[in-house]
Amino acid sequence: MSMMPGAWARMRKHRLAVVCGGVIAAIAVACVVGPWLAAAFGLDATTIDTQLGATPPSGAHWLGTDTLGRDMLVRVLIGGRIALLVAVVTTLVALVIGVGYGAIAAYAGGVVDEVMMRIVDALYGFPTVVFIIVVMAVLGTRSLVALFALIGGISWLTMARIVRGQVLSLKRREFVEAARASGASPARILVRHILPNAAGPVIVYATLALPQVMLTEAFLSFLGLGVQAPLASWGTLVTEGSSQVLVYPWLLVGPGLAMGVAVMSLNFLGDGLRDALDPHTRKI
Amino acid sequence: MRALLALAALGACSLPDGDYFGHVPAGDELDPRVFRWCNFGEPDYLDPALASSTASSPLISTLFDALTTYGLDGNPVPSLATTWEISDDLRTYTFHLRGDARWTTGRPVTAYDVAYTAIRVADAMTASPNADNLAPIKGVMPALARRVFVLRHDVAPYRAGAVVELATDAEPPDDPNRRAASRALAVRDLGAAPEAAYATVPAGGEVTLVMTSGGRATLPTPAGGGPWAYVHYEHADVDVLGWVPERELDGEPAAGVAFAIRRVARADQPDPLEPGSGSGSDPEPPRPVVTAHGRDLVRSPDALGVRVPDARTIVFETSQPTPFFLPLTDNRALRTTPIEAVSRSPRHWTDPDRIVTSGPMHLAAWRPRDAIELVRSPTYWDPAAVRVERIRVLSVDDQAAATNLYFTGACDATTANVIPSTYLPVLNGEQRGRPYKDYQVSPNLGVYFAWVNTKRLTNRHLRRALALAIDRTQIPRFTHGGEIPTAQLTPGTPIAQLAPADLAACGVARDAPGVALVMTAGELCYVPPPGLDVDLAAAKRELALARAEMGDAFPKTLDYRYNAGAEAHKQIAEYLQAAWGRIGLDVTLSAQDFNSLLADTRAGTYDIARLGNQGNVADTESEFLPLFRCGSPDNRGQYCNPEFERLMDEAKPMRDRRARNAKLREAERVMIEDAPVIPLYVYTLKTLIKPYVRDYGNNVINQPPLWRAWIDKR
Amino acid sequence: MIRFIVRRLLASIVVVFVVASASFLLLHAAPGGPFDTAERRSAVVQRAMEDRYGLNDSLGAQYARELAHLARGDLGRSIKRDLSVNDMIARSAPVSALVGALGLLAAIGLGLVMGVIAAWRRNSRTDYALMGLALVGISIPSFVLGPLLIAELSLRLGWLPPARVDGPAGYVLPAITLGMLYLGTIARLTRGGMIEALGQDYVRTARAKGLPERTVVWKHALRLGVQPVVTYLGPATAALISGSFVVEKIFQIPGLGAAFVDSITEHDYPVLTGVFVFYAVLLVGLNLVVDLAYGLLDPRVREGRA
Repeated sequence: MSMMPGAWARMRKHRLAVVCGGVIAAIAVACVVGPWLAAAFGLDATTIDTQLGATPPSGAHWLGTDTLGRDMLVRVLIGGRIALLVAVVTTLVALVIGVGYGAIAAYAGGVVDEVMMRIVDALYGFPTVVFIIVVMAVLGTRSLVALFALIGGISWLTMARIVRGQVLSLKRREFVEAARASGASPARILVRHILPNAAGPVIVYATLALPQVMLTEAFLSFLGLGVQAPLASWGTLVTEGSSQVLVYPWLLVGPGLAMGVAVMSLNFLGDGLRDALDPHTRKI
Repeated sequence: MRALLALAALGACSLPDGDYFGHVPAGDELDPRVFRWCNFGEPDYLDPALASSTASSPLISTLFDALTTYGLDGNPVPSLATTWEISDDLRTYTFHLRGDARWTTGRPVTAYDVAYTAIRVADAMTASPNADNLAPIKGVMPALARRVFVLRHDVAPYRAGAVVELATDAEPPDDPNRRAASRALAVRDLGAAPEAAYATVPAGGEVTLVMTSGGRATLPTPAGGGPWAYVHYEHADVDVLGWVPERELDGEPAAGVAFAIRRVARADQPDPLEPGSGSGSDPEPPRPVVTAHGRDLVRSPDALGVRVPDARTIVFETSQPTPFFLPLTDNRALRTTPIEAVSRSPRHWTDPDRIVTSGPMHLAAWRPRDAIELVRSPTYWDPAAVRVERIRVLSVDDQAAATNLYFTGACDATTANVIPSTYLPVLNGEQRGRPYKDYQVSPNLGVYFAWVNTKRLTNRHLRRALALAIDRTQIPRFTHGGEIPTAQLTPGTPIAQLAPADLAACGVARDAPGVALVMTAGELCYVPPPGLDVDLAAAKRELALARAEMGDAFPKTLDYRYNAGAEAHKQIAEYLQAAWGRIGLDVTLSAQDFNSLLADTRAGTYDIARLGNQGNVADTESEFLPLFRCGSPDNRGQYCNPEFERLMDEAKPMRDRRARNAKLREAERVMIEDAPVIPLYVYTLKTLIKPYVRDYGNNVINQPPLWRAWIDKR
Repeated sequence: MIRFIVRRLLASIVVVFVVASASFLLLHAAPGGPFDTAERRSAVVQRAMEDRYGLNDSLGAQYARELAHLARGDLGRSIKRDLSVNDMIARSAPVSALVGALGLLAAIGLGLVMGVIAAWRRNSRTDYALMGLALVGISIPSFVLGPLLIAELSLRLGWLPPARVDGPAGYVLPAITLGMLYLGTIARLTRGGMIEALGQDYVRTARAKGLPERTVVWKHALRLGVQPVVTYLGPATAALISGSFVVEKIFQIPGLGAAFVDSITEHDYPVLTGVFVFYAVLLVGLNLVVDLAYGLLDPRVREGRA
């Protein structure tokens, strides 16, 4: 991967971003491994104890328990698994669509490019989240796959623009001309020569897309359209907690904090990556 | 670390330690003129004919008077009607109206208003979701399908005035009530001058005739000039009803259309019967099918079992003996509606600037999704009974928000079941050892049960074993709402909690187990037979019998279905699964969404499924037992027992209510011993009511008379 | 220039038509009818209700009817209440607009100040602190912040009502919750814009002339620095719309967002799709205006973009 010279040096200077990178990595590890560890201590997210009911944070239960007596820390960790899974898969979907779209538009050029970018422009102003809500509500689709497809299907716009910009500037470079002269097909040129050089900004915006997608999934869960029972994500945990804030506030604070920290870390990390890889497009 | 401290700070909570959950302001902070009530949801309509949401009912009962209204205990008490007579055969109900009831326009409320309400609901054009409530009345269901007519001329062998119906099951070929006028029509009130018209039908425009003056139940014809016709005109943005002189309707587009008709069955004929119909227990004489044309027929309220002999008397006739007719009279479908206001604006007459009411309170403002303001009615006949000046109804559609509003003191009381179920352990005292005093729990007329598919689990012993294996007393642990465990189908109040007068009426001892349904306070009571309550030894015996009888056909596993909405359903499912496992039955669990559960139980593609039933009226014969009749679409267990049918049919003509109840009890006993259903608990209503609110509380059918509530400053 | 306007206008109309047709298709692809109920209702009564609402006409007839309505600006009728979508919007949109405007104004005011100061004291601790705060605002969703604010300020301290707007106090929590969405983004955009502006020649000239730094920053640089915020107004309205769903549900505000969310649970599909078309028209219109304004200002766009 060829990055701007000195990028690593700048990254290391941007200590906050590095720390956040560590934080999100720690969260991810905790979510994956944590529940197994907790099981060793006898804590899990499915054993129901209605006698115990909801209890505030204590030594035995660091984030308290919910109304069914389930340990909240483990619930938050398992919720994180789903939240991160949805975020990663959906971002991948958006990535694939966005990169493909942008690359094709830029490489084809001319009228094709014009039309394709006009469509992107039109979609930019479109109330896309509202559209997903309408589709999911009316058709009653609730599966996880539908969620990946729908959220991914609205999150690729910026990616497409970025990739198009990159491909446009790279397509006139010498090594591309050389490849063309040697008779390589457009697809091969794109995949083997151009895209690897465009990887920098793609990574940046993928990192920045993750928290967006996470918040979108949580938003849909709040409206009852996101992840469905028995699966639980941070979004559904927060939604449950928000309606019980009068009597059991810790049910909101635990998952809310987890989601907030994850989203913030990803945002800071993305910022840092953008500074490192794309210093002169720093608009925000 | 900081995070944990923050968590702890919030955990050291906001929950009050005293007697009351909500903030109770000091006496002098209270405004006793206003009662603030948190409703759950926004009423869809305030028009009694069109309203179907639960949020509308208490408001409609407060705005519009009816023959009877809901008392504090939910049973009907006289309101518009002061006295009534019920015929011996339980088919004719005569109500005598008071003379001092008035609309807010000043006009007296008459029997013609009550009849108009019924006629409007029975008209297909209104598309009332509440029309099923009037089903017992003669002619209502066929009128909704536009299948019943009155003959205008003799059509041999029937005479003019006979009530006839379409002889085939096909759609009616046309509507004989279509009319046209060669000159413009001035649509106005009955007997008014043309200058007072509030709408005009252009010449040649088509209208639909609804009723004519001078009929069995319609207003008398005004003096001078022939009968008047009440028509419906709908075109583009205009939708209006009103009276015009009948002679002005000179066109009949459907006059020549042929209809195959015959007289309606005797039971459906309004009194007096047609000559030649026979009477009493005579067999029904033949009713030949003849052809009549549009000009010979008219759809008319004269075909309905409604009669108005004079302005203060109304008579209802039912096809079958109907002992539960009285509670229907306080229902939405019979809340009086003002003909003048409805005619001018059939779908918007309840707007605050147009509405005309007859009840204890009047509508002052309706801010959609926000609040509804009711004010004391200036024309109600019992002003002393209304002890507040205003009722402010807050339309809150989020349970947590409603409870928060009660908590901070923005509402004085909430409607039932607006409390999130997760709050219940806090409110009922499970968490802190003693309940909050402003939290009220009382029985609701509904029962949570599991259907058993008798077409798959054909062996009676197997079904009985399922029922006998369950210890229902543990189930309220999952629901937290003080629900009443029961093995009896018909829900009611626990006998231990009955008032002494009701205890006497029920004829049971205070320490008798189970519930009893009070049908008329202090007078009539129905005590359901004991069901198949937990008896593990008996369960095992029944299971052994089942195994012996079924041999290889004995199922290896059974499937229990429930809807995935509330966590409680899942916990109950797991509890049942464990209980059945203990007697040696393997049962698997399946969760599905509510709509598909409804569909599957209706189609019979299940083994055991949870559902429930809610009653509108304290009468098991109309609300609960019909679920088990052969062929009923609500009979999701596909239960069919000729003995049960026989007993239910024998009860139908019985006039002595106590004897009838005894017969019904026998029928219920036959049914419950066959175990097509496993009752689990009686639903409860949970409300939050501030200590200074009086005369407001839950009643068993969840229809509290709002207007009776008042604020006690002391 | 004219070509530019015409092209954008045509594109907008196409988008609205596509949205309307998509709505219609969705509406009729919905499983089950609008009058399905768990209650016992006879077939006769069900039939009467369906006839009344024209649900038994052919699909083509219904599509034609709805397109005709749309051309007249009629967005449909609710089937749960006898109310046209236009009336619902007329009644509830002003409430949403008011809460949104309050939140946005608060966010702009505070966000501009934060961004300017952060840019001014670039790379200092103040900068990092302010931008950190901005990022917190972006990261905490409104349905976490809202209930937490309610728990503290309303339920525990009793300072503000927990729901409903029964007086000016009722606007405070919803406006804060909604405004936080924008605060972070506006602060960051302002900072970026200001950094660019402060590097411009004319700013250096102003400094060289000896003007006080405060004037340089707040009078001269700000004019250029706020440009990114103006561009943001389009996406801001989109965020306002989806933010309103959450805020109006939590705080029980009778706005358009609440009506939209309710139509989901009530299965009132005509309202759902009618409001959706309204939102689409609103956003397309707003973006068109912003684009036109940009076109007027920026000569490169006027000429048809390189």
